[in-house]
Amino acid sequence: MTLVTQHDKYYFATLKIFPEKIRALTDELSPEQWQDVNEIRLRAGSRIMVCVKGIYRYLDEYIGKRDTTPFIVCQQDLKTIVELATRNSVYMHLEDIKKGFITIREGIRIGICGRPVIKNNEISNIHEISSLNVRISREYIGCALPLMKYIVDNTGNISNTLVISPPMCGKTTILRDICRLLSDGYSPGPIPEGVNVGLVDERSEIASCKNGVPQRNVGKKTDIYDDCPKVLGMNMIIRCMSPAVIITDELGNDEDEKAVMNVLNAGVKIITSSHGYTISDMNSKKSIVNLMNNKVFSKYIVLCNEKGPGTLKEVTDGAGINKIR
Amino acid sequence: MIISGSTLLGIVIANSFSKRVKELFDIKTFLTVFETSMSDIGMHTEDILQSTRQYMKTGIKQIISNIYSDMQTEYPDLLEKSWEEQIIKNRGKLSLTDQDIDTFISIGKFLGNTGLENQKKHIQHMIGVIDKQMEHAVTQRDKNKKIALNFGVLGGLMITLMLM
Repeated sequence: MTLVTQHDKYYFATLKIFPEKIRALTDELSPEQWQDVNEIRLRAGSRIMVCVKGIYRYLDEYIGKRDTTPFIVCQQDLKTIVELATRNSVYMHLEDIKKGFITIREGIRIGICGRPVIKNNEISNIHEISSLNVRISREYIGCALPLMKYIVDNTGNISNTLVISPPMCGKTTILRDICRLLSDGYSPGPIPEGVNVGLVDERSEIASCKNGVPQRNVGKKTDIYDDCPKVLGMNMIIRCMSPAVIITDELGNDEDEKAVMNVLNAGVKIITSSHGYTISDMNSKKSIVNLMNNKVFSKYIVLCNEKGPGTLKEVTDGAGINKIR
Repeated sequence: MIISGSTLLGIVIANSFSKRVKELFDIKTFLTVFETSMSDIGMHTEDILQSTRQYMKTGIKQIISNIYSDMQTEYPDLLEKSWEEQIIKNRGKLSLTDQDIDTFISIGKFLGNTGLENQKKHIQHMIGVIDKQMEHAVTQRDKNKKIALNFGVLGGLMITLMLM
């Protein structure tokens, strides 16, 4: 095991959003301890919890502060975190807040829970924030390389692929690396020079663009629609950037089906993902069932958390019957 | 020398009345530009702070610059905190009254921390308050500027005559 001696960029991006007293506590995490943290959960009136390799623990215990009075999060702390995370510009992130999350620099996503403000049967804001979930998504360069043989055949033909995975199993991380490999090319492989990739990054989680520059490595031939609704982004990117393949995250809405069909009619390939544990889980999602019935996808890649995030569970062909792996 | 010194004092006092009007006008300009930049251009608060500085000519410009610098630090604090700190720190350099200062501080309490519609409502409300304070400041300026100037000259003359 390699000794980690420095904190990564995600650590510093996370510290920036914390008020001083929480930062002081988080600052005691050693680089090695930090590497194993996937989530930081803050609930009003409770101690801070961290998810370490899938197991939830109190932060003060994890850093070895058992003898001192535990730090209890108050609601003002949560409000401060949201304000700092939005760089004192809550108005810029209200559309995301309505959906229950915000994505900050380095692709760190903060889930927000509280009392929603309802207007015309729709959530218009969340006030009285009760808990936050800071999800730290890391970049693992090369993690998708073993999957590329299923996605790109020997002649360089890219398969329309659906990556299926439960939450916290590396779905976005795998998609990001697939994007990089297709864009930059990889050798030995059928596309050493790479192809033009259109990335529709609805939640800014894949490329984490800042001032138009992706903060994650998504490849040199990738054009990105950042923070843009999938349906709009997919339709626009076909017309304006003529990509060979479009990559987007978390398919599932009814409108997504039409957008995917538009992509295919334009002769562009699609690689996307959806929440689920198995292929049969997709049966509950009408739009995906329709796409499956139309044999849109040639490959289904199912991920699990058995040996850590990104574990390949199975690869199935377009019919969803023949297991390739 | 006495007449010149006294006149100068009169001018300084008279100018402080004009300065208050100009400073209030700068705060109003800031709010107007903030509203436009936020709703029409979709800029982040710190970018707005940076860009609005060019429209200001009084001590308010320095305060906004300092708040912007505070937000560029490694671990920036909430805007509200920095806003209040910088106003209190630079209060001596301003000609604003206590009421003006309170209004100026209260702007920092809502800036950037709500949705777009609420921001607009808050800004419009504050512009209304500042307009009222500006009216008062203009009246005070018109009334007191001449008095201060005349008092400076006449006071100087009187002292000179008394000494003679």
